[in-house]
Amino acid sequence: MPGTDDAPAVEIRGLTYWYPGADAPALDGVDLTVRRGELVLLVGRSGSGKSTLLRSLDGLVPSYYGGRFKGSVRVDGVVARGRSVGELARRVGLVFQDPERQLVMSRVDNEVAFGLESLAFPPEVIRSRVADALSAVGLTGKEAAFVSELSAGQAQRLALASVLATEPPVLGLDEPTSQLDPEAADDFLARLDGERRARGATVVLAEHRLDRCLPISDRVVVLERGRIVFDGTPQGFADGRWEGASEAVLPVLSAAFRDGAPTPLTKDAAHALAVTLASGGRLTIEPRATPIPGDVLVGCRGLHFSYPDGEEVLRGADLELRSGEVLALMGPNGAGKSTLARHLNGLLRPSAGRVEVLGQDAAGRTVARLARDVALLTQNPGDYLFERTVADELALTARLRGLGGEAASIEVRTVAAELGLTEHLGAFSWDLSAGQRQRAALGALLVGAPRVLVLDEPTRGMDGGHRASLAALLRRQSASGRAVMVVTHDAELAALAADRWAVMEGGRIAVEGGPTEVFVARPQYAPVLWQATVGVPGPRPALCPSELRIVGGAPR
Amino acid sequence: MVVPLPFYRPRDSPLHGLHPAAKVALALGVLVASLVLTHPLYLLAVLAGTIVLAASARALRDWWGFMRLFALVAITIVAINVLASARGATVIWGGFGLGWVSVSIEGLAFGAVMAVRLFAVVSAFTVLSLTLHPDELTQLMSRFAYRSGLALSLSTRLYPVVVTDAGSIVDAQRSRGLDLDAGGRLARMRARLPVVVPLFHTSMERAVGIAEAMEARGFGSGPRTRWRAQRPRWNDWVAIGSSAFLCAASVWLARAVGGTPTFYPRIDLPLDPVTIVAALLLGMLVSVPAALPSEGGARHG
Repeated sequence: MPGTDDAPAVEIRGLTYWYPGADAPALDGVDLTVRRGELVLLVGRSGSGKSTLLRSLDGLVPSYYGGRFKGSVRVDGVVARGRSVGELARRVGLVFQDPERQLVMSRVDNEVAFGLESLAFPPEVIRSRVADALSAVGLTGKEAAFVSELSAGQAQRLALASVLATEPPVLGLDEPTSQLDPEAADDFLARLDGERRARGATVVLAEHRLDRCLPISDRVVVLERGRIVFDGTPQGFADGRWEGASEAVLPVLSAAFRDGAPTPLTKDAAHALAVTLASGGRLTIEPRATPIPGDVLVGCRGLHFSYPDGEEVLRGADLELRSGEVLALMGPNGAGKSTLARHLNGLLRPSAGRVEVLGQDAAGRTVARLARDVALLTQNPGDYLFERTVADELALTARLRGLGGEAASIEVRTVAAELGLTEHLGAFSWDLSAGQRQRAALGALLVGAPRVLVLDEPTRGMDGGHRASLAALLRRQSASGRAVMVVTHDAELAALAADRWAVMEGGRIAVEGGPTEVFVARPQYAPVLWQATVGVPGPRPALCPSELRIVGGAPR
Repeated sequence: MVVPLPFYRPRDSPLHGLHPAAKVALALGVLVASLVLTHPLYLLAVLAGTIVLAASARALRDWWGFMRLFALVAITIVAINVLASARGATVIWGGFGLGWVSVSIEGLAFGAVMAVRLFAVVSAFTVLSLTLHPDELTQLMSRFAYRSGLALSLSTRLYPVVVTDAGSIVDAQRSRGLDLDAGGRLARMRARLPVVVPLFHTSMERAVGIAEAMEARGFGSGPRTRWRAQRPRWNDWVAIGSSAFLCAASVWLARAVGGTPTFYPRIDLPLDPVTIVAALLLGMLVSVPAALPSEGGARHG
């Protein structure tokens, strides 16, 4: 009896699943019931089984992937097993991480119509559904636009519209905002929440942006190594009194106020709590020691740059990177951050102004020469990987740096150890997880000890635990005397890693300095904890949980 | 370097407003005419007609951007023909005393006519790709070969994505210190491997992802509907009719009127008033769709 109203939207019993050839199951005895109209937030580190669980809802697991499957999945009252993915597509709509990997058609409205056509809806229904769905995600007026011309945020909203159009009772979303900047991510989540309420849809949402998702969630389910380790309310989750609760999965506010109960779920609640604690003299903040920066390793003065299409992206940008410091370069899309980063190793050359690397003008030197001093990690680590193994990848850079024989292999081993890559040296680069790929790419850059490290958006799609270890890695780099610059939208990464902030706007640096100078002028780039503790009487605001101390527990 | 492929340009024009089948018919009509006709004046007329079409589609600049590149190919064809054909009687240059290399006026003329013919065909298909939305192609093929149509349309959609990928991979590999342009030709080709390998992997991962997403959206689950299924209107029939008439007229002209021009051993180009009038008519026939109204033109943007 399909679609009976009293059946739960999703009912999973004893689901255990192995990908083909895998030793350990990706899901291990999962039991999960989702009521109609609920928004369940699926939390867990990368590789914990979130994506696999979502794919089991519409039968992609196992019918697209193969592998071994035990247990049962019922969606909208219907047993998923034995039905085609196509049949289940009427009941479950999935939105994936990367907009580029799910959009099919060239034209926006045809994209929305694609699923409806595949499910053989009549043309007049398709016409009205396409219009409704595009309006729901704010893309009305873009019907005739090319999909390739949309921004990442618009493209992801289009993916949502395409799924909403078929009006499935259950929506599954697999880290849908991981490729978006914070503003686009907020917009996406707000629209998702509005639409699921309006439609009464059931939503299973896997996400890393917990601070934004907890307030809209009805329930939180935490996966670890394929098992459900927590299933309860957002409050219960945030309070963190469950087995396996760690900073890697908990939201920043939980980690900061973990001695208090109940833990604040929103920035405003956290602010109120901080004020109460501070007035009782029970809140102290111990700011991190700021290192004394060393010599200037890279200096940019008055950089101007225009792309061939005539758009001037840099308009007099000045920047200094000093040995022993981590600089976070933030700012809106199109402000010129990545363009500026590409000037530091000569990939782009200024039309006016001057770049100095280690005291010498960069103008006369090739990219290959500058790469010895300035390592630039661009957004996709996979772009660096073409050798068979990680070891070969690092050895190639060693050769490029003129290292041979024993010196080369020592350097490869040293860099690998520093990045935690030793056990992966023999692995095929493309078999690595996203986080490992990033380390392999970093390894390929850091062989030969360049003094400057520049990273462009290194935390796209990264979970909290990986972000924390990347931040620690960057701090180790600066502690060893390197100058590090990280171009990022991720305020939490900057909070963990940076000593100095710079905000770029309209092609030049608008504000720069320590957190106070920068965040007072541009609060939108402050981490959530700074926003929650700013204006609290007494201490200066905190950047990350480790700086905050609560004496004697929080008020009940 | 990226070749500026003639991709669809959204415009409000009589050509853009046509049914996709009518657009394809126009290009096929020119193809048949160019293959059948031998008189250079006829071929020039057909070529001129396609230029009128490009102008009416308000895509003359994009058309020229691609045709200019193609001109290099055409010049090569003329050159090969001139050098390789020793049948001309009026030798104007005997080469290096090599028996087989000789340049004759007849060879030059024949090569030029070949080039005009190729130009006409390529021009017609350039106009087609500038005015046919990739999704229209899918739609057109949905009746008989939906999957092939989709594959074609998907590859045009992903072309700019792959170009961007290639650019960012080049940046990445240069950032690690690889010099992609050093050395001789073989060294340069080998130096491209660091770009090709990641590009291949990225594209494969994307392909797997798209296939999965398509399946999740019910692709291949049964018969499809088509929301833009449109019936040809009168202007489409005019375009299809004029193409059919163009084919018929070309066959008839090639056989019956004005005599067949010959190039070897001596050029014999009949240029009587009938031929000139026929050429004018051919050119007009090709450009008929340019005169259609563009009302409701942009069915597909």
